[in-house]
Amino acid sequence: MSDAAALPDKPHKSAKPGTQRKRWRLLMAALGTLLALAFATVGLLQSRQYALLNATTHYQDDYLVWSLFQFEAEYLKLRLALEQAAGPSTAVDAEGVEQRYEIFVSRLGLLQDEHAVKILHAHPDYRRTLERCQAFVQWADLLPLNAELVRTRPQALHEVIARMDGMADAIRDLSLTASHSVATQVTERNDLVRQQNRQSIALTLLQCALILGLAGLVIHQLGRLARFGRAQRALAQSLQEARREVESGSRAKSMFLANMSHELRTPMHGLLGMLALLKDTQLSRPQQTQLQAASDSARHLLAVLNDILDVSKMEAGGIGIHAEPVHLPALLRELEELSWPQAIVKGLDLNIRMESDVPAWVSADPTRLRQILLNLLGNAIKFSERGRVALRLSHQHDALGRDLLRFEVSDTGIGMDAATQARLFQRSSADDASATAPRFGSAGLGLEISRSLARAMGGDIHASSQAGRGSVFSLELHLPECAPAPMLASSAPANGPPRRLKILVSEDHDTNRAFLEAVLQRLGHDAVFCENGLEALQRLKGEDFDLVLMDLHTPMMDGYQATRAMRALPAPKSTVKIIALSADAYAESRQRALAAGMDDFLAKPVGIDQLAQTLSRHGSSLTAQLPVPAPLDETKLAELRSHLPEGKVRQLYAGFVANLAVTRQALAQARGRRDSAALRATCHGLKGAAANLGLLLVSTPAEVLENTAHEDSDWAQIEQQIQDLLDALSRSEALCSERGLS
Amino acid sequence: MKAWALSVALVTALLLHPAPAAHAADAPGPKPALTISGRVKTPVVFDMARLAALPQHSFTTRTPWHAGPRKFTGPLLRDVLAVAGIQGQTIEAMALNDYKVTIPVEDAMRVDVVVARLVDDKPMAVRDKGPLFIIYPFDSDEALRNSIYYSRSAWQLKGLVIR
Repeated sequence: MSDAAALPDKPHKSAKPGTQRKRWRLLMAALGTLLALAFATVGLLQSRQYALLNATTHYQDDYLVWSLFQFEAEYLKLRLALEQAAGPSTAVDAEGVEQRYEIFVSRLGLLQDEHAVKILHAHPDYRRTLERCQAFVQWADLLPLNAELVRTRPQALHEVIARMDGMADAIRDLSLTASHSVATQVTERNDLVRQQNRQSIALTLLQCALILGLAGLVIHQLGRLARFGRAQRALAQSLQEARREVESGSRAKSMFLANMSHELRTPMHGLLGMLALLKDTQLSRPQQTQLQAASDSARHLLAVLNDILDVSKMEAGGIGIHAEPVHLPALLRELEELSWPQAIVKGLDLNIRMESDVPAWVSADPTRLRQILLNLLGNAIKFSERGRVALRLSHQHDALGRDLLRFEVSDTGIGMDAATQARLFQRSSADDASATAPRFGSAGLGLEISRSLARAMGGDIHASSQAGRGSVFSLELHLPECAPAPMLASSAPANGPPRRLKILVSEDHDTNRAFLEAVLQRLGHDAVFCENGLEALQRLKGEDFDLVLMDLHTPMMDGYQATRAMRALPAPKSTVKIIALSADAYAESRQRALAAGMDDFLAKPVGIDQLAQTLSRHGSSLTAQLPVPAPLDETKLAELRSHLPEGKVRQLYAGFVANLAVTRQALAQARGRRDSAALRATCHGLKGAAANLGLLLVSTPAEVLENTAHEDSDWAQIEQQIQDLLDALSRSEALCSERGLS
Repeated sequence: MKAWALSVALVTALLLHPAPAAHAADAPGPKPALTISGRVKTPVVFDMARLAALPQHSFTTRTPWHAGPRKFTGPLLRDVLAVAGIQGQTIEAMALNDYKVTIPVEDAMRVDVVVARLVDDKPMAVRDKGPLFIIYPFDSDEALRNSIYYSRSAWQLKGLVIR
């Protein structure tokens, strides 16, 4: 399988993540620590830079240099003022000299303050010069050097000047020293700043590297995610492929089963047909019994094949539910007719009943519904040795309040224990096949199919049972009520032998050809046989036919191609009725056949009745000419006789005959007034009464008249039909007396 | 008669006030401490007594020129300016030692700048950066502790010229 290739690396991958996650976590932790360290260092560096800046602001180094220059300037100004005052000029500003001195002293004060000392204390010049200046001020203050002195003792100023002269070089040196010292400090600070800058650049680089590392990791992780995503996608794809393969394998198996059953059904077709034909020949009593046994076995085999085909179709998803209006009373009647013979044989009472609140017409798939109910009824009859089998149809509501129809099949048979019930709807496995096969007949597939069908129709089947007391199977379906279907010829089957048709048959299988030949001959039709579609097409070109039976799978040209070619012929040949014959009963084949232009579809093996019905349906629609009805349906009579005592049966027919006078009167009245509604009502009643008694010679024309009598109908035709019906009434009267029924 | 009387008054005035310098030197009376000139309504000459008569303001702050914090007392610069009715935007502060600095009038309005007369409640001698000292309250606002405001703190203040 394709996913096998993807699997081997899985354990390898699942072992890896543990160590990888550990390594990943370690790496993350290392990176985180590095990052934290880097941030701490940056913080420290910046706080140091900040402190440095603050220190600069505080010490005002540059300001000190300026102060020293000012001091020197004041020194020179004082000296100048003193020289002027000591000079010969009489205009002396004594106050000005005193102020100069005071300002000089204030400048000296600046050199003694705290931060000047801090910066310059290391220089011996500073201390020496400062001491000299202080000594000078002390000496001058003692003079005291003020306006008074200048005015009164100008000669004393010479000594002051002399003392000051000695200080000139020292003061200049001090100011130079200070500027050098400050320059050195500035250089040192600049170096420090540069160094810190270098450190911060290094830190920035480290941070860059860390961020790049992180980015690399992120990219790596994204890459891993992308790879993981790709691997996931690939895995999903391979899983999907595997599923497709498995599904197609399963489909192939189902197709194989369907084909096999199809292959088996083709010879069954021939076998059953030949057995049916053999029954009509002169046979001794033991031969008849043997033939009956062979026929039963063949039918059983066919039932098994049909079940297998159904199951395989369901598994291949080919089960289709085709809803159409279904007349429930008619369906139940049909079920009763089909089950009654089996029940009679076992001496069981068959009771089929429909509650009054059940709608007559519902939308359902009649074939599938019939299949389910026949299966349930068949099982009930099979497993009941005495007592009663009943089908009760009632109207219910489900838990959600929706309308629900419940078909309840109950029996008084052997019942089932809980274990059997539990695996009732499951396909028998090899182990318990022996236990259930005899119990449920055929391949034991009937209930499984029934339940699958019920579920496909949106419903379900439930069973309840007690060993020895009998079982109840309930089929519950949501079948919506619907309008009655327009009257179809098919809903009134077996209208007697249809008109003689000229039929072209395309069939390559010898046995089938022989079977069809015999059947068609028996049904009173003319048949022409071809072995493939091409031959049939040539034949149709040269001759007129009422109908073509077309096997879909023939050599040279298949049924689809032949049909398309026939439809392409000029009218009226293009309108010939074409009925498909096929051993594969898929809904798809049917649709394909209809799409190719065929009118109907018959699945092989084709039963005689089924073929007769189909031919009659299509044959009667070919022409307005009425088929000549068989006067009396013998099976109906036999059925009545089996249910009722002979006296009662005779009473029924006598009642019908007695009523004819009233009917005739009603018909005459409606005819005189040209009242189509009254005509339809009378015919409807008449049709029902006659049909119940199997009087086909009456029920058929009554039905025809009921269908054609309308306000806008051609009254001349209606007159003719009324006349036909009146004739039929007279004949039925004669028939009844002839048969001793009235 | 009138002319005579005027002449006598003039001569007397000349005799009494031969020159401003002479007068300052001679008459020990109130010494001018601060002059306000330039774009003002009325030029004003303050003596110490007049400055002391204005509302006084005190704060203690550290300065680059003193070791440790000092208490400064004097009128607010804005009150001093108000007396002259200034009309300009900048103040040129002049010091005895010919130091000059420009102070925006806005500083006087925004900050409680004091024209300090007293340091630690004592008058300042010229040698102690007196007699007047423009001082900003450095300790009350970190934004003031930089060279700009240190340089605006003129000491040995003698005049304000409004520009």
